[in-house]
Amino acid sequence: MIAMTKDLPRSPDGLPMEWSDVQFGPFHPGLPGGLSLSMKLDGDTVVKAEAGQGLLGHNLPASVLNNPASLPEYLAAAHPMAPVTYRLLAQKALVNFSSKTPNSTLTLSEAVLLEKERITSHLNWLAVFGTALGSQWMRDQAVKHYHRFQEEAGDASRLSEFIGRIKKMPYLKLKLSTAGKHRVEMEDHNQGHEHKAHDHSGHGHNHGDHAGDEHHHAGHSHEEHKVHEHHEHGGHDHSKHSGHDHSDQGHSGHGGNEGHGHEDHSHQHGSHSGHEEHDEHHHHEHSGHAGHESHDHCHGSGDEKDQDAGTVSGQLPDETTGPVARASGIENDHRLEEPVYQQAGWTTVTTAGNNAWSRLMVRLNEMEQSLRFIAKAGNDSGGVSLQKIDIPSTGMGNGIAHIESPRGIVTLKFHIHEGKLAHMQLNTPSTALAGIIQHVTEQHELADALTAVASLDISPWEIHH
Amino acid sequence: MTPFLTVFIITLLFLSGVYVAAVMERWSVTGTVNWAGPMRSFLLLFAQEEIKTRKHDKVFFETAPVLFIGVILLTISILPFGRDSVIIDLGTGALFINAALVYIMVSLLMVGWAVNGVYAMVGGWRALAQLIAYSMPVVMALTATVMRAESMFLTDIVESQQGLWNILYQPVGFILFYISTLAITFLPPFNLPVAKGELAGGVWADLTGARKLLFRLGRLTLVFTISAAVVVLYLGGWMGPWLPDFAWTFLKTLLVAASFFAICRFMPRIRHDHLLEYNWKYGVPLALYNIFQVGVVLLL
Repeated sequence: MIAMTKDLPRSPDGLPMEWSDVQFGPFHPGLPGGLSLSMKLDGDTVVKAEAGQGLLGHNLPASVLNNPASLPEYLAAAHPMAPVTYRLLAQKALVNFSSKTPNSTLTLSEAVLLEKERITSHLNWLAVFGTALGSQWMRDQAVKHYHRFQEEAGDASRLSEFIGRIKKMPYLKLKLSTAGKHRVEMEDHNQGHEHKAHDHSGHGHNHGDHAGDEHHHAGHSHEEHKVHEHHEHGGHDHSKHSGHDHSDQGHSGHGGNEGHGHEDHSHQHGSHSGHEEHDEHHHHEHSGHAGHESHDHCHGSGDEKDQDAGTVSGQLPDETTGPVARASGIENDHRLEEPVYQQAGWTTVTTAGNNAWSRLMVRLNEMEQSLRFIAKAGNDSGGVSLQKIDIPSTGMGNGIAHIESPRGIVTLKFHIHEGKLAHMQLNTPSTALAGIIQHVTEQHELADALTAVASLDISPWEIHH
Repeated sequence: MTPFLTVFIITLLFLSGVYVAAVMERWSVTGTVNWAGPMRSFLLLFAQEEIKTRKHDKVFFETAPVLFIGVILLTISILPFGRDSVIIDLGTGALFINAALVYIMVSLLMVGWAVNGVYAMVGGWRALAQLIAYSMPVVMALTATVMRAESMFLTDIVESQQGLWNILYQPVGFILFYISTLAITFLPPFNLPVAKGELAGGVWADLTGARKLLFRLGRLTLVFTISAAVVVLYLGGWMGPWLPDFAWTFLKTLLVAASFFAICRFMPRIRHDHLLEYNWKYGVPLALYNIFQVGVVLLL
């Protein structure tokens, strides 16, 4: 027996078992189409999980390089899961590039378009999620509503009724509440507590296996933000992160020296100009994120360690935005920066839990919020905005824009030199979400792991090198 | 009615019942009633190429579907459809139901192993976990019905319900048996072995053609058979006014099958740890209580 099992890998319980390498996707019924997930299974327990990167990636065609004005249509075509979002993003960035006062904001019409797409995107996700959960009814209804809203024939009251029925579905909350919790392995806790891998949502995160640079670029680029700009961000009270005690961390000034990068990239948009040259950001100030050795925003005190799986902000990687971040209580929503949303009294939808159920609730509540916003916009039906942007053939400049996509904040930066696109950087939320797959699946049973990955709503079109 | 005519009508009703179950299954998946759908699926699978996976276990690969359908046919043979309409009136009929249906999950485990694929293997393991979960409540609930009838003959169990059906006499037992038999049929929310969204079909993921057809057809027959068992044990069997006895059996069986598929459509899949937990922590004590309650009532 010993001879047979001598070289086999050991499970955490000490048993030697043969592990299996399994591929889920890119056409798995319970995962988004195109998402390729490789897993190493110890029986039916996930040891390692990784999303395939760059499968749907592509290089910029010459036609776009030579004619940056075609960037909106190109990005819309390259991201079929959120074409309107990417088109608006590129238009904003081009307007910021060409305008003398580059601070492009969304019009009401554009905001309505964005919210309509948010609804269809969430319905599309719900259809896949319903399949993963084994609820054919949820899937069928989500598909029906998706098609109706795609064809501009959506019925808001029926959608609200559908959402209400999902919230009351028997057993669903119990099933999802333990799926998809973000786990961390705290090997090197600065408080001296030694934690084995355990299911504490919000107790810091272990990114020791992520190269620091890749991690920084995964969702949002930090390097172009001046430190002092963080002081300009008013109105973002991060002390609202439930369960997270910032009182002794000096957040109010956003000094940025504490390594709390998850704040600095989310709300800087209002004060950044498109043509502003950004100094190279001091990575050292965020070096705490690379391995998350600085657990300033981790919860080392015994009390916090023993917290239930409620929201403890900061436990997700800083680049995580969108419904996944909001499902862990992080009030991170770029729409709060937009005047058109501020005028509508926009508030961020957040829940506590940081699990699959809270992510489902956030998306359902966001759909209802979007419906109310669209209803309030009234006759402004969100027609397609066709802004013609002139790109001068001489000179150079930068364009930058951010937008709240259905999956999180997308940032587009480019440099145009003599009428041609010289450099472009697109930071997408799915890259960051793909980075946390390991943490939400490790040592989970296979079904829970797949549910957790499905709950992240990763767009395979957004994952690229 | 002559015995031959009775047998002919019962067989016809049974086959029709299986077809109606197929229509209901399609409704539970798609939300639409399509009467031609099952026939199309049957012809599609019948004509489909049979693909064998690499390094499959030949013995299990060939025998698992046969075992699956064989067990179901054996179960049908002992169920009484009418007062005098039973193929084999077995003296240990109630016990035989439980014993035979264990092999449903055994055949799923066999095919999970045979295919040499991870999806199917995990599905097979889940089938085993499911068997461990439901086996105690189902046999204990059966025991209570046997206690009341003081006999294991299924015809006697039906006759014992003359005054009051077992669904009212032992409601706890009925609920336990109903849920456990739903788990035997591995319909949603208990479709762990064949989870489409998680295992892309599980034990059936790598089956095609006639093998898959046998399993699909077998499950429909199983649903109808299990529904008939519920009717025999708890819903008074063939008892009812005006209509011939076998007609009542089939009507009630269709109702039970419809209820199975209704639950299918609106419940998410149960987690296997919850399944085990609920059955062992709550199901077994409730089944013991049911036996105790039936015993007390019988003695009074």
